[in-house]
Amino acid sequence: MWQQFVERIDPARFALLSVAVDTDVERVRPFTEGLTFPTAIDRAGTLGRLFDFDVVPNGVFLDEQGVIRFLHVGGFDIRRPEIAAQIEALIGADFTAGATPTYSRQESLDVEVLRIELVERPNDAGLHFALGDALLREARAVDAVAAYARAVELDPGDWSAHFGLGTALELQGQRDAALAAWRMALALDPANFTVRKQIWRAEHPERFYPDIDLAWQKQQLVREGYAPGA
Amino acid sequence: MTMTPTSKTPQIGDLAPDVVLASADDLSRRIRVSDYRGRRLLIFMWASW
Repeated sequence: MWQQFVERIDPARFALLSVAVDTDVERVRPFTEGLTFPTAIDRAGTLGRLFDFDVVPNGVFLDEQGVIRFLHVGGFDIRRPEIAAQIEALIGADFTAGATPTYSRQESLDVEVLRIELVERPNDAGLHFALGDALLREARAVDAVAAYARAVELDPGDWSAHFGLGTALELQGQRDAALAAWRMALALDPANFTVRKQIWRAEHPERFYPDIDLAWQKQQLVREGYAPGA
Repeated sequence: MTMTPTSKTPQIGDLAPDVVLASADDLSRRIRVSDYRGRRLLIFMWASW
């Protein structure tokens, strides 16, 4: 689907970055075979946290200066002709010439830079969370657990800190503790399907592989007492 | 709720945050949104579930 779409567009003008919101890279790799565009994995839900997304699939379109020109949350599927048409239009669009925002780093993303910033602001939950993300990217699970745990301590009401903690615990092989952390994230944000499905996948892998059992998911929502809009 | 001191939720018209992610094919390799400046970029987020 995306491969066919990408092949029609001049790569000098447009790129596609596929981001899998999964905690387990082995689940993602089968989907990347034969693709000419890159797939990244976002194990700690960084993009979801930044953009306040609690579902997938989503689309974010940036122009050549990195300015956001389009956001589509949920149901973003290239097989839908209106979506394909929207993306083609965005690729060809002439965005109004205005003041270009000066590029600046909104997040310090490297472990060493974050540690320096933490010296000045040791009780900044956001910095501990960002440190957890940076450590997770380096597969330093033990250190990532400590960073996320501190973020949770400082801001216990934030679902994403618990979610990051769960992901780091899973990476460390602490499955029960990971599930407990993800459950806390879900309790704090019950409408968050990214978290709910992560728990389902971890506890009921047979319902996701080799095929996703959607009927089971509907029943499970009822069993879990979640009624959207109630 | 925000988890970083300088950010609000990015909207259309805002500069996108420079997110760094790991490549699914090689976890030690980084992919940054800022790598794509100079081209238009569609970030497609999905999950295996």
